[in-house]
Amino acid sequence: MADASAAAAGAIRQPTQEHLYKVLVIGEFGVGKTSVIRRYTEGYFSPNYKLTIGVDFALKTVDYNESAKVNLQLWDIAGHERFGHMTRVYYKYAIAAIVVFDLSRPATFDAVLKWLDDVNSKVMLSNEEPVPVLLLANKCDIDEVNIDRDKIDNFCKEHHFIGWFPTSAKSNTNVEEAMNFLIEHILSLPVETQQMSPERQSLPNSVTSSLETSYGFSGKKGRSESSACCKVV
Amino acid sequence: MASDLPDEFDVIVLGTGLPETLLAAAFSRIGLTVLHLDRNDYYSGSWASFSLRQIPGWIEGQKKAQCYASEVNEEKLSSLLKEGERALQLPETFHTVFEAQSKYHVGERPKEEKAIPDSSPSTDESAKPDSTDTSLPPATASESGDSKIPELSGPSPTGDAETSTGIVPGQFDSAPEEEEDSKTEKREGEATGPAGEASGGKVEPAAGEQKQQREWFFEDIEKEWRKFSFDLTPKLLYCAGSMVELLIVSDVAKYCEFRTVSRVLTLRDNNLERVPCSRADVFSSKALSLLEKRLLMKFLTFAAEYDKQPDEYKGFEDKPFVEFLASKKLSPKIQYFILHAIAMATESTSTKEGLENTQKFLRSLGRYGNTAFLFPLYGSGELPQGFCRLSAVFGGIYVLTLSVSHLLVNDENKCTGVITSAGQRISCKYLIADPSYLPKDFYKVPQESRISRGIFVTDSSILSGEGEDLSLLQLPHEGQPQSPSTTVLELPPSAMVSPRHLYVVHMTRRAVSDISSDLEPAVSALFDATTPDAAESDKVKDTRKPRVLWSLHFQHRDLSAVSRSEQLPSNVFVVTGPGVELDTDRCVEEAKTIFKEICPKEEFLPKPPHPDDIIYVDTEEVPAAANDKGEWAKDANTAESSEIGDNAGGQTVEKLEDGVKKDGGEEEKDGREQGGEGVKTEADGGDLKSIEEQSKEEKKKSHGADCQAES
Repeated sequence: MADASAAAAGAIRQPTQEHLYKVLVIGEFGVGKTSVIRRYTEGYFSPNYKLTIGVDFALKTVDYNESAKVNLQLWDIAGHERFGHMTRVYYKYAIAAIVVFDLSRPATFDAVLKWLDDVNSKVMLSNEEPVPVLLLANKCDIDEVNIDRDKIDNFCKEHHFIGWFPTSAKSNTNVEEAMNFLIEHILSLPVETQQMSPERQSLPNSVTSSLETSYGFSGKKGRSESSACCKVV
Repeated sequence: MASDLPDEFDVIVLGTGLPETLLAAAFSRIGLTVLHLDRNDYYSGSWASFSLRQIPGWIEGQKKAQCYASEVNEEKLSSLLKEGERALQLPETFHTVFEAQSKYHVGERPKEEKAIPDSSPSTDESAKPDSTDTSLPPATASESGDSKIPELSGPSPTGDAETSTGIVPGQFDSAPEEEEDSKTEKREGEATGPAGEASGGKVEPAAGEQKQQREWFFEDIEKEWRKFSFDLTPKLLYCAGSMVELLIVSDVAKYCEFRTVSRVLTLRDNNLERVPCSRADVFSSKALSLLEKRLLMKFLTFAAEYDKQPDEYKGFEDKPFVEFLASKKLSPKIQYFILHAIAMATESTSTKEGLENTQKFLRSLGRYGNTAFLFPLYGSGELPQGFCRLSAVFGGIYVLTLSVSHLLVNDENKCTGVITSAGQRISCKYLIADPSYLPKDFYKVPQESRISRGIFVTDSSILSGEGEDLSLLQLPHEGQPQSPSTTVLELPPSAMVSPRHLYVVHMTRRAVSDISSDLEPAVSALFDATTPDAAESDKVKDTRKPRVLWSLHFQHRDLSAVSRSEQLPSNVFVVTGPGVELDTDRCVEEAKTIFKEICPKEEFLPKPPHPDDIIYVDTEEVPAAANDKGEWAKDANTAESSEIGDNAGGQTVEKLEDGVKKDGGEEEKDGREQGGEGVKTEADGGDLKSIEEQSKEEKKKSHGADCQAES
């Protein structure tokens, strides 16, 4: 539904350039990471989400504009690496991250910096700049929550978040907007960060992401589309 | 944080080394609840990879050797025990690494020169290597250019060897590498090399290398700290080995990327040579005479199917492989090649074992190009992490920096649970542990031994070729036939374990004495020991040897042959640590064996469903781990039904299986497509194509056979 315009646009013309971006979705347990992802990728909300089993990431295809089709891989932390110890596999090749906190539980906001530091210490863009990080203040539909906008604004400035949105996966507030903002930011990154680094393009001897299967980390055929590449630390 | 942990799991796994992670993934995959702990703040234990800056911390940690700081006192402990249980305290310290020492072999950049790199573009972005690099030559030329020219300008007697290496790998490397070089200004020497060699000239490379000479300083290396990935346990994968098979079947391959080991080298009479292994290599090799080629081909053809011709080696089964090779009237050079580069054997290896190894090597050839081995990009430490991710995706819970202080054992000598170092009691049905977590009387070590390891950062390849080669060299110690050989693995920057222009060299040898003397022969044979400013003009040098810029030495306790002891509770399984062997197939077999013992009817790491085939169900039958009830629900603001039991888990597995079948067809098709592309890129190698295709077919067959065997 939210995709109506995008879908319509897609029907008119062929997208000329397809991008694939891996985006990490992190934050404390129960802040609604999975809800946000599912709301965005599947368009609905359920209060009964269970732990996501057997899925590395959710894929969302966005016809961003006439020249760009964006495949967004949203990597959930699998619920279980929730003690903050994700494997390198999780961070590898991510181009952006979303830190989610729960407006109704201040402790989850306190943990935001921990997650930010974690991302910055584990992954960076191929031009050695930190990956862009977006902050989501989730569960803004809950009546009792007060949002101190100035505080969060300053917080984001101070810690170089690219921005923040009060969101609600439940009432579908700002999820689409926040994601579009992120996509726009990713597309505005210098081209070299979006391209494979030279080493990677010219590995005649490397057997790439797949040994036999041709599902790369994209879950899509081949790896030619994967344009995001980052150094993993 | 740890108090969030559920109080009950099917399996608790201690240690995140490779065999443990295979098991954790296998158990999670079939729906068992798994708690995977590691006392370290990093994954993979003895199998870990570290960046440059992580090394000092690791060395410190090994010195302290503390397993856990227990928060449990006697009183609390007894309150946690159930009737009939006793608590066995686990060792508080472990000693698996000895004499670890890292060292820089370069100085700091002299002060007056510091201005030069600083005045170059302020960013040291890798995306702009040209600007950074071009600023360097003036500095280095003035500093050390004089002292280096002599060792370079001499004619290269290794010309033969180099040309012999030139032809075949050229199929893979030259074109794309040149492209790369033109882009990145990288290794001009080699970029012009192939062209020069092809037209018969040997002059150009020398001139190029000279230009490439660069003085490295502490700062240059330190600032690239992130780009290093040093494996404590570097391992290769046989292309047709069980690890590759498992990566494909389990789909963990999607988390990893690989680079092929493009050269197998030998060092004979101080001369590094590339070993011709495949049919194409043998025919194009200039190192061998026509007769030798024929003999070698004949032998390789036999060895590929030696088990079908037992008469050929009758009587030699238990005799040394060397004697068998001698009986085949092979020339000394060929014998040496087969023994040290193909069978990776020593003088004491039996004929049976030697033939087995040779066969495995030959079967692995051609599957992913002209090589028998793969190396994981970013280091071997990626493998355990890939399996950890799989386990986590299927519900495994991971907590690092958490260990176990006590095992709870009931009167039937069964382990009923553990007390974590945070003082929580967690019950389990099975416990898997790396031996360093367990009391000494829980496992048997047949023979106490150590593995000597050296990791070196060098400024060039031990044998410069036309591209970036990933080289394997088995170095026997001459005059000491019984002495263990040194395995040398040289990783180029394209293996993603080092920054541009720098190589990482791993040496592994079964320890015979102390760390420095164990590796000394290999170090002095391969590296340039002189300091940058020492004049070397009088020395006769065939070619410039790489200079060591940084090194790490340590000895590792060899726990690769541990077995369970009678004291070990029957539902506790001890896994082995890394050994000196090249590959990881032993771990796969070990994990399979333990898995079959615990879950005889289940499949070991079956293919996961494709994400598109997973149907989200947001009702009670959702695939949820059976233990999730209370804790998770509280946190998640959702009232989770407590009806989820083993049943739900079972259903989930079935559903996933369906997905697999559907998926299988697609995969196969895609696999072929990709195979086609692969051949295209390597199209120059005429008969490679057929080998590729052939091996693809074989692979499918063997794959099928595996499945049958398992089901």
